[in-house]
Amino acid sequence: MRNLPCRSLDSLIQAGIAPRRARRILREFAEHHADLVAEHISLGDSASDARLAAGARLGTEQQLVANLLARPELRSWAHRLPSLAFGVAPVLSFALAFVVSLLALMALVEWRQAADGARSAASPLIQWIGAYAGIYLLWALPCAVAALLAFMALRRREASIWPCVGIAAVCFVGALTNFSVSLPPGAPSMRAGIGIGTGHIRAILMRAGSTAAPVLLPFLWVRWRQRMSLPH
Amino acid sequence: MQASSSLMSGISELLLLRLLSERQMYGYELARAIRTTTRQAISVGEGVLYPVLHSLERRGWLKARRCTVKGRTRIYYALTRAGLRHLKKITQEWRRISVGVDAALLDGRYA
Repeated sequence: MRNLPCRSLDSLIQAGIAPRRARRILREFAEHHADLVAEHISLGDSASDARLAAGARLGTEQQLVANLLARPELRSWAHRLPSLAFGVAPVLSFALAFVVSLLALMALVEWRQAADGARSAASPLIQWIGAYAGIYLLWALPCAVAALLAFMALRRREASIWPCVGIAAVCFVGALTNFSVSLPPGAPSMRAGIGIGTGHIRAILMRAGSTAAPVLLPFLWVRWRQRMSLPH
Repeated sequence: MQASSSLMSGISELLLLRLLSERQMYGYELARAIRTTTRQAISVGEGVLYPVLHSLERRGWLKARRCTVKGRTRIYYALTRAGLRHLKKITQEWRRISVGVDAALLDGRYA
């Protein structure tokens, strides 16, 4: 199989065709070309004549790209609604991931206590969760959601503006978010709370910046490299 | 047959759905089948097939399946139930248009 032509692949992805679909179309096109060449060789053509005939029947990759781009239904929803895909959806995803993670931690603690047969705040697992849950929920999770967003935007060759807004929004919401977990003695189960802090705006901005920078700077650098590598 | 691209696109769609209603096929096979079944009267630019196939798949009328045959990866297309319903609809439309155009061509005088 021929290598996929980068120029056509980039054109398709930049126009909003999902990367997986774009790769598949170009592979099908390359396979079809190989079939046509084989057909013409079996009819007695030389290899170079067979390639010319196959090209004439199949058309060029540029024509294929133009025909694909003329069909708006092939463009992904993320390309049609970038503000939703790269601005709103990541913030909602972060909120959902935060709640699910907290619930999973609580379930883990409850399960561990049930396994131990008695509740104990001194249990190593509970101490471990107390030490690392904050780092995970307040730092690692917003960073991970922002990094996933950056990866998707780079893969789809998306313009930088909405992914940057999304990364900033996720990190800002992450910086506003706080949580607490307690295991009151005698209570039937542990308690958890999620809060939004609005005081100390400078601290919030510092926290948002420190989670956004490790994602945003590499994203912008890779995006710049992608632009520089495109043929003009 | 040379025709406008929108007409050809509609015809390609009809032919592809009709061929795939019989059995699943991949792109090159479909191009050959179109030439054979239309007795070479219609020769769709073979590169045009893929945008049409992907568009039909996107609209839920076709489903694609990857198969490896003799070391080659083939994407086989098959008709879905929704595709079959759509085929029936556009076949009826085509017959109605065809009868109308034939009538106009055979006796097109308007008194």
